[in-house]
Amino acid sequence: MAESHLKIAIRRIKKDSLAIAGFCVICAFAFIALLDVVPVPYRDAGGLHFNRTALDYLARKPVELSYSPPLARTGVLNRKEFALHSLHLLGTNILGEDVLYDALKGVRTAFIIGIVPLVIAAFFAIVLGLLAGYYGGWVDDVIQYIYQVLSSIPGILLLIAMLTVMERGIWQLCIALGVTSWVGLCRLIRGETLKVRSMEYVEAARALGASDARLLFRQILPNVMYLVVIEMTLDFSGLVMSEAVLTYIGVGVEPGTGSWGRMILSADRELPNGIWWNLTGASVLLFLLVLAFNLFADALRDALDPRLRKG
Amino acid sequence: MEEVLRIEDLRTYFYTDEGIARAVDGVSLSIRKKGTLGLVGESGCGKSITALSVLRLVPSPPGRIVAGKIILAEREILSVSENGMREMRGRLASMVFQEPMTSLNPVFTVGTQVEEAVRIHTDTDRTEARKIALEYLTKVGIPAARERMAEYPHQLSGGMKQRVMIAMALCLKPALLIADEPTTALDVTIQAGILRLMKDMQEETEAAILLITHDLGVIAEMADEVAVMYAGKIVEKGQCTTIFAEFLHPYTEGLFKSLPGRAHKGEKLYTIPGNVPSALQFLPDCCRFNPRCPLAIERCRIEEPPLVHVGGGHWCACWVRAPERGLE
Repeated sequence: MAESHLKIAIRRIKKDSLAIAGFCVICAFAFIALLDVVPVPYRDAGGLHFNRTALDYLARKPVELSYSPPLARTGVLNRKEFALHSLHLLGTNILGEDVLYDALKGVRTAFIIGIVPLVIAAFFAIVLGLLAGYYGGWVDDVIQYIYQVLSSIPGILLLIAMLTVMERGIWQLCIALGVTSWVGLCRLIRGETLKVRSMEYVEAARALGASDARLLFRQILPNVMYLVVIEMTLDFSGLVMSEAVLTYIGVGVEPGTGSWGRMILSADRELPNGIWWNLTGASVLLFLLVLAFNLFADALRDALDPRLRKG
Repeated sequence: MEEVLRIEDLRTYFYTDEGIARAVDGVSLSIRKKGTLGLVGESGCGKSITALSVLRLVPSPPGRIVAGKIILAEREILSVSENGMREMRGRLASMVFQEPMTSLNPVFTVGTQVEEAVRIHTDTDRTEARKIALEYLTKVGIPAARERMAEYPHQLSGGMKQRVMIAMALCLKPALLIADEPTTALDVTIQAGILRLMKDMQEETEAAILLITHDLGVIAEMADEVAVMYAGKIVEKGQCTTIFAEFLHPYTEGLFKSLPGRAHKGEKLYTIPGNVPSALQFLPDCCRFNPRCPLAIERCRIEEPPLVHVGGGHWCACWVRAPERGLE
């Protein structure tokens, strides 16, 4: 029976239990991120508010006066019976904030940082890579010149420069990351386009009167799209980690946005006092997400590899 | 009868770093409505470049049509804009390629691709295009065409793919179908079926066919007229029956002699000595076949033989076999 390449890829991934495990972990994280998007309206003296998400509703804990170890009870004067919702499962940080809640708030940020720059980068890479590979000549020269220049500037310097010019914020960070990270994929797409454009099916479509735009987007793009999918899954974990690094050097997301980077950063004040749980909480989540994505990305790359397509 | 295609003194050159390759160097031919012209010759003789020139698909740079006239369905196509040309491809003339294995896009279903071929030029919606696609896939003899439309190219055999290619090429009823070695890559058992299909489809759509091949068997089966090409030039042309019965040019003779059926069992097959020279090294001012010709005389090395009419629509370019007789 007819099977699309997508179906074949899914069938292959299904055989890989590690990839399935990775996929489940990703789904769990995505669910948490989604909880952090859905607003739960509440009413108080000031009227109706929408600034609280489902995650806030479920996991927010009161801020304590000082840090406390994992499993500590909420509230200095809390005399309630032992109950899950009245515990700081992962303790509180040096400012008395609940570590678990902070860590969970970091998930949405991680997904935004992992996905939005990729979409921006993929857009640049696809458009420029296709044009360069298809037209060649001076178009290719110009596009190659642009990305040679871009890639000759150390990425982190460019990022810091851009973030200094723009206001600080998660979306600005996404734009900066997107603009600085399309070169690799663009090179790949350009190379693959060079190869695909001389395939007989492209020539055949041209002989049937297809225009350049039709050839590019209906014949060539679908044949290089697997590169985009693979590159995006591989880059995701790098971007999530770069958020932590950028926040660590002080150019990350604005305060008030959940951030694993900031949690890790505060370790320099906390570890001397023996507070290890804040660092651990953030690192474990970061590690889990990155590991899950890498496992999944590996399987996906194998599944989409055109050299193995027939099986 | 009216001519669908007339080529006059076509010259397509490739400007490479090593020099100018005169791949097609003064070719003239014509095809009548519903007629089939077989263009024969070894690899590298410029047959395919001639065909690509008709659709203006010669890779450029380095290729360029430097001179000549191509009149396709009463339009001089060398003076048409690129957009105008694009409008004609597929509608006035379309092409079936040699390699059915790679001529279909691997990521789309067969149905989608035929549909796409319909929709390139017409404003039909998807359901209408789908109907036409199904109609043509049925016409080209694909069994259970409706189910096959949902399949991917890798699930089809070579012969089936070539049938799909023919459906795509003919679904807009072009006046001319160019078939570049359409059966070369197929199993022998399937070739006859594809040739018969092309004939049937020709009956139905009244398309003229420019058939490029190095297989004289295919020519005998299909063509009304034959043009033999060597090193960028036509060396002999005429009615198929004439050429088969009384070929003149030593190159044509060589092609016939190297047919396996002609050799007796146990005897070695005849081969024309030497190879087609690279297009960069086509010799000027002489018969280009002379280094390989068993009949070559002094004149062949210093003067180029013209294509002369030897009677009954039979033309030949050879100093020995057709020494300017019949030249008005």
